[in-house]
Amino acid sequence: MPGERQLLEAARRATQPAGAALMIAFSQFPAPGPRQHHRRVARALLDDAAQRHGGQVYGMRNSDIVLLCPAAALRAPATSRANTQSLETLPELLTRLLRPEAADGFAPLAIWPLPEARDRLLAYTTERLADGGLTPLDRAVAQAETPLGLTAAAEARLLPDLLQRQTAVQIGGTPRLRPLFREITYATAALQAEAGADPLESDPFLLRHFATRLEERVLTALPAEVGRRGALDLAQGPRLHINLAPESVTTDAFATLVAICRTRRVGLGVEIALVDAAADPESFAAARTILAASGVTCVIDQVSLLALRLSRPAALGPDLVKLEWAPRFAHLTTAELRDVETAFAEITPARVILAGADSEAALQWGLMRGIHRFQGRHVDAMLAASRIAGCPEAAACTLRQCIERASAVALGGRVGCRNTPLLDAGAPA
Amino acid sequence: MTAALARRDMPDEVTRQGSPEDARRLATLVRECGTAGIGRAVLLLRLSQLPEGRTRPHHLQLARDALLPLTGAARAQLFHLPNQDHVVVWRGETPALRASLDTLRHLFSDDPSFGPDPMAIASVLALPDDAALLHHVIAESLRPRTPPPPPRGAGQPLDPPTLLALERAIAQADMSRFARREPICRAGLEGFRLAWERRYLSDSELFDTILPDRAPRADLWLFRRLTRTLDRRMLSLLAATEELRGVPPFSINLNVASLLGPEFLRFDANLPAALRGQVVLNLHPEDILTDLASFCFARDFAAARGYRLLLHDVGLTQLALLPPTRLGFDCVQLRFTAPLTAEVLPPDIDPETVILGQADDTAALSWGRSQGIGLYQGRIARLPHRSGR
Repeated sequence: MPGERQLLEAARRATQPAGAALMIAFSQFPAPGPRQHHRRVARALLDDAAQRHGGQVYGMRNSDIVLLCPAAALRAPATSRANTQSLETLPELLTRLLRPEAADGFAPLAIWPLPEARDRLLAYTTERLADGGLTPLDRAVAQAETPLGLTAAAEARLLPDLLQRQTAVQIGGTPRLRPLFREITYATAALQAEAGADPLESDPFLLRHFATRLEERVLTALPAEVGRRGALDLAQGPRLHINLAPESVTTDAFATLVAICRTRRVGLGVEIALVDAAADPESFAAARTILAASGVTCVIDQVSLLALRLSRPAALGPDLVKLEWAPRFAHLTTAELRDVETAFAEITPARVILAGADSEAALQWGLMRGIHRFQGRHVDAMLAASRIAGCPEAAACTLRQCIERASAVALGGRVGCRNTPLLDAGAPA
Repeated sequence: MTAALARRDMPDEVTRQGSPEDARRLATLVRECGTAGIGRAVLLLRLSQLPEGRTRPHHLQLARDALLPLTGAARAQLFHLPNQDHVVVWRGETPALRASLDTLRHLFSDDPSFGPDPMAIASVLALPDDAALLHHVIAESLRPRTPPPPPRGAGQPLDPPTLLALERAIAQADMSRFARREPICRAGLEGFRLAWERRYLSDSELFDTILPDRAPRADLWLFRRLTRTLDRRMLSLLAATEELRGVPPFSINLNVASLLGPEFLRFDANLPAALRGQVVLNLHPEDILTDLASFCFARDFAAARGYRLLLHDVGLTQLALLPPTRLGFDCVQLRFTAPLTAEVLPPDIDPETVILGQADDTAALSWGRSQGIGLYQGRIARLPHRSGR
């Protein structure tokens, strides 16, 4: 534990006036914790300050970082070497960089003036020595074999094992809870778990590649499932939504699916990820034209709070926009709220589906803003409750079982349900 | 003229196909001149008649470039026919004709394979007298031809195992021979002046060299992953001691993850003071949308370190979807295409922050100027320029 010991020695010597310690408490970051680049960049900024002002940086085994330096270093512009007008100090810059990921009220930095707060620094260092570094240091970045691992995982699994279903509802009106559509999605988590991949840290591009391949497999598999009364039988249940990349909409496989849906009088919707639409706007424009001509609903999917604030999904002209609920929606700052309201004014709440609605708070937030379409775990529970209430075979079923069976695509996941028509319908008529 | 000229920004394999629409437009013009007795001068450049070995993209490009002086003549219109032939029609006499003919003569005069008369590919005609000849040329250009061989790199897309092998190869290859620079120029009354250089690795040449039977760009997401490896190699090239000494301002393409990686942090730590504030980082829309939280972090970090951020290679649709100011970009590189000439910059875009990319001809320049755009990237910005800002 050289970092801790060196810091302890330095803290004991910190008796000169006008010193300071700046500690970044990475070990205390709220879940899911700091990303690797947070620590890497913060370390670079601290090293730069130490070099310019005569300080020293200490890395703790619990991932905290401490800078000891003259107090003036913390009052100087963080980037005085930079040819910029920024007069932001290092603590201000670090706080701004690290705060958005942290929960409300969490202060990522502590500043201890020295020698006044020397005891506090000594206590902190002693604690680090005592805990022995309980949090591991950075994991290795992006395993080199991830592509092969994911390839093997994707090819080895049967398609149903990688898929799941989720029903979206309209809340309000009559009946109060009305299934709108059932979405077939790929279970990214299952794929990642199989390959040992970490979605954000390692390779979001690779996961988008595999997502596209899986979506193509779904597209070609669906026609064969018609009439088989399985989880992928599009003739069962409400309107069907599938996820596709824009170029997949222009394929013969999609035209075949559209024709089958028309014959079977099944409504169809296609959900296109915002990032896919942005990456290839020409293909998206072509896809949107085809969807409109085919009477298929076009949904822009995976719109996060940040995406809503920083982009203009309405510019793509979709029928619906799927907004991803996050707890932060319930605690928006004034600026965030203004941005959301601006975006809603453009999209109109009537065209928003609030996805990932996993709590009553999500529903309340959405309803207060004129949203009536919802999808998520809370909705799953509401639907399951209504099914159990209306199902003569449900005496032995729990709410959780009913939720899981409704989301399962693989045959094994539906075992135990003796009323699959109701399970596939989403809710009693 | 604009539509025909503008098509020259397309990739060479597309450009070689020419345009049936241009053929129809030229036929209309020839017919109208004949009917109304309107006089026009014509230069016919029969690139379809070039001997084999002289039809590589750079040959065709040089020949097409030789027509540029003529496009400034009165009522000049350039037509690119489907068989590669080009026709320029203008009114009155112009000294530019001599300039174009001289360029063409020099271009082909030293080629023994060309035959006795290199200038036979270029003919000066007059309307309405030569209307019948031009109709014949147009009809000939529209006839189906033997399909050209597939362009290089038109093979299978990457798959993950090949990607991994490619990444390993790139990690070990000498990348300095693929390092390129291209100017971003400011257009002024006195011509173009260098604003900064884009420094990049020529991925097309790299792939042609080490993976000629694959089309790495065919799978968008695997290609984007590959660009992260290219980012690292570019940054390691720039880490060489002499690489940044006394160089003009420059830009580099980066992924967000690369901007937050150890290689960039080393680059940042070693950046000469004179270049601080003079480096532009080019980011791609699909990359920033893949992980917006990381983008915001990277954006704020880069700004604090004095870098300017550029939203790279976007069209108007992407510009509407991703408002650069809302995202915190300093500037945006708008991709010029022929249809753009029928559009205008969105009102919320400051033309001072726009670089018109793939500006390969006067149509791009003309449209850019009409929109108040001062910065250009492309063949037109590779004209002789004065260094310095």
